Amino acid sequence: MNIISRNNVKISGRGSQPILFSHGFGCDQHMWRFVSPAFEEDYQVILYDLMGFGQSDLASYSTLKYNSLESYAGDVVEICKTIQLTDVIFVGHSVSAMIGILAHNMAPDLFASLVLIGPSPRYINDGSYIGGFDQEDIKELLESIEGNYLGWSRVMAPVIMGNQDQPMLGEELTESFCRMHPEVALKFAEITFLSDNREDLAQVSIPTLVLQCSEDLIAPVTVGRYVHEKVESSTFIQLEATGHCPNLSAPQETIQAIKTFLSKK
Amino acid sequence: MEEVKSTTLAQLEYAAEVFADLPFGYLLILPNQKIHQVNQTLLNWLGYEAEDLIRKKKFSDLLTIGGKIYYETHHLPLEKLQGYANEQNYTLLGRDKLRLPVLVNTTQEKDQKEQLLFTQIFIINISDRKKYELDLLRAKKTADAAIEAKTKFISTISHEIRTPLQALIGISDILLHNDPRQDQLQLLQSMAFASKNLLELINHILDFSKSDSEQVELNLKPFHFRELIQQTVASLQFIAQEKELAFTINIDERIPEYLSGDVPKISQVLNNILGNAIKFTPAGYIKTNIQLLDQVKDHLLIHFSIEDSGIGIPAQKIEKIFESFSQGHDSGEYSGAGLGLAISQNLIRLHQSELKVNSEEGKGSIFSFTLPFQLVVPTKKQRRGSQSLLELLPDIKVLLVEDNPSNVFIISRYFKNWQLDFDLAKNGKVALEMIRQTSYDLILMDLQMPVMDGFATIKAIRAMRGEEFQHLPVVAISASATDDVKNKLLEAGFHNCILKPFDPEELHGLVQAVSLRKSIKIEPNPQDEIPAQATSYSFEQLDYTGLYELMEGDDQALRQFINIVLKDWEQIYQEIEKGIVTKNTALFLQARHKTISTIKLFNATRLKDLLDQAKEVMESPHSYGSDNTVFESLLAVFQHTLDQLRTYLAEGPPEKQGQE
Repeated sequence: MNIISRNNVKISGRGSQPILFSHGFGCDQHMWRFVSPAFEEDYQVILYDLMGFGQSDLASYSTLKYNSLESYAGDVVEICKTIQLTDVIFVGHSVSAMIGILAHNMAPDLFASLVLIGPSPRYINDGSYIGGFDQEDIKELLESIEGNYLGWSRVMAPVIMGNQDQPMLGEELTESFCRMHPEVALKFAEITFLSDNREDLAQVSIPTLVLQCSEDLIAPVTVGRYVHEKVESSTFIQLEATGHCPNLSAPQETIQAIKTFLSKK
Repeated sequence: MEEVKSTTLAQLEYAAEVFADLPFGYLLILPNQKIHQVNQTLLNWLGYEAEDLIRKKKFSDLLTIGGKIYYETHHLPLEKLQGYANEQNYTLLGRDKLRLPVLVNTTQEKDQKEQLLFTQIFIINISDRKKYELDLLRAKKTADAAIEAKTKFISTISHEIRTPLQALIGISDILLHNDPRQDQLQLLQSMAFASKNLLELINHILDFSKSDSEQVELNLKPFHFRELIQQTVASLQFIAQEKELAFTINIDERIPEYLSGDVPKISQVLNNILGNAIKFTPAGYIKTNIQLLDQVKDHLLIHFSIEDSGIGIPAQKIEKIFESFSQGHDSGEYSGAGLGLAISQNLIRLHQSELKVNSEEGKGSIFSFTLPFQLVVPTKKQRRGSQSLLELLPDIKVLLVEDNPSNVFIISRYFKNWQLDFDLAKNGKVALEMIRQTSYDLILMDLQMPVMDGFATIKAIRAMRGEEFQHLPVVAISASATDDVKNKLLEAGFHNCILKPFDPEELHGLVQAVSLRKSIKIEPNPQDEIPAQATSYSFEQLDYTGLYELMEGDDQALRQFINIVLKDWEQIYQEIEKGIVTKNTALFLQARHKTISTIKLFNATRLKDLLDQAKEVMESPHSYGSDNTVFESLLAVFQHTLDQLRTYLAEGPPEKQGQE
């Protein structure tokens, strides 16, 4: 199976410069549905599902292969190479921010710029570094995900949504959101929250935007500031949006921030 | 429709009051996430007052940290995308560290312009369910423990069966090689065939119980990939050819020569799956395809697929074929315990992978799996013309003492494969002669042999003159390795033992350990320890110089003499002890008397003094019984003297510095 169907890659838009959106921990490419359409006019928009999420091909998943964020970064590079993308704008939310950085370090000529939404190079506190969590918290999170196996199995089953007044949703009547395989989600949570990519930040030299939310429990302001400090070529923007998912809770503000950044380049 | 949709906050102002005592928790949340209303049921569960929560807390403030992350990253996106999220599992935090397991449904209410007005949260208390889940978990653990006990039992009993079976196989082999009568030949062949089949079955059961109880661990070693595959399939290829099946193997050229992996397990899996393919394919082909799937730095993933044009597996059976004791076909045409695939699956799972099957009844099956390997850069030595599967062994010389022709055959084959220099002795007596003439680095010896058995031989080896024979590594070939047997072997002077039937890996490891001069002793020899209480007495070192002179330096003669003395004194010791304990003075004096002549020869003055003191005490009725220390000292020193004699016999004369 080629990587395009394997990772459910979707290409749209009328522009020439590619902008690749990489979703974060906990959902799939639907997370971009309020943001990515705003870029279709001027860019070639590429969406995909991380392996094990959404409609990626579960048969191609193996815990052996996907045992680090590097493997996910490898997929990003492979997608870009397969559809021969150059000069790519990479937009990564949550853990995908780090996946983007790793992909950039693997193939330094691939990306033109990076947009990091709620990035965190390490979630667990380490000496003077404050990631926001301690080891116990992460253990509890893994238990939470495990406890929700049943819930997620149900989410995985296709549901029919009767949302007539929302034609955009109506197109995908039989599709469900945020599908994930419970065991994959658990493994992914593990590699996400136990990862430490602080050393990888220094290698980034392309224009980078750090989008920081307010009251973000997952990636607190101090962490966003840390990323900004370590990536010399970065710009820092503090959003008014609260929580960890401004692409869902404040799409307009998110779109505006990205467009401003891209226009200044 | 429109009217239903445009519910306003005002309309739900009193929802919490209406829902006050219903058996679920209720929260009304404003778009800024703050709690707007809460019903009494939830307050009761959590031990809060309404004013603790309203306008002060968010729903996520009631969650554990793990729950908060989950809520932010999973729950909220889902709720935002589809307008609701159902049956989400959380633990709510109440007053005084109270933890309440709940299921949560959340629904967003929006106005006509799709603006979020508020979110309703319905909470179901699942404390009882959690309790049942815990009970179930406990029940499961009990059941698992019971299964484990059963597995252990199977493992033990299989071992027990294997020992006599090994004998049967050996005997039938001997009889077959002994020019049997024509009418007996067939019977013997049937017997050999049946017993070998039985052994294979028992081995399968053992493997299964081992792999099932997860006692097995991966044992990674460098090996030559192509060679492993070729060696593994060689015998199977022969069977396939006999059935006139097209048997092809395609190995991806990108796969490096040397990899690190668990060779016996990989070859067992291939054996099982290919064996099955041949068994269930009456005509046609068997294609093995081995592809490099992925390589990240040193880590490789290799995909194996074995396709046959056999009878296939019925759709309704396909789920069951990996279960133990299950067969894809009920007909008596295909026999077997149905363990092969279960074992293979377990072994593959050990590699954190999965054995998969694709099959169509009447058309054939494809079994496939992916295994991880590590790239290794072979040392020069391994490269240098090595065609060996395992690492090369340094130059050492081994003596194999074994009479069972089949064992001789098997071990010789391994040794030849490993290019190991070795000699063969048919029994202990022959072995002793060879050991005298040639310097060996390792002796591998069977216990049961005609003429001179293993125990007698080891005793003789250890009794031989020369330091090297005391330390010469001798490994027993044993059918059992219980602690009891092990102890007996160690006591007898063996360094270690190896189990029948042989695991080539183990044998190789053993030979390697010896060649690297590693200690291969498995447990400390209990005889090396000096009894604790003995340290409180002052001991003396026996002096053999006088005796040497007497024997004119003939060590052999001295040895014989010491042997006689030891037997004599062991008897005397018992009599003395009995005399003291039963207060039988006559017995004591008699026994003491027997020592007088010999004690002088050893210059054992301390022992002599104590015997004299004890005699005085025994003969004087007044002091008898009041002071036992002299008796204690006597017995201890006597015992130590006996030990020294034994040591002399076992290890030769004590070293010079030991006498100082």
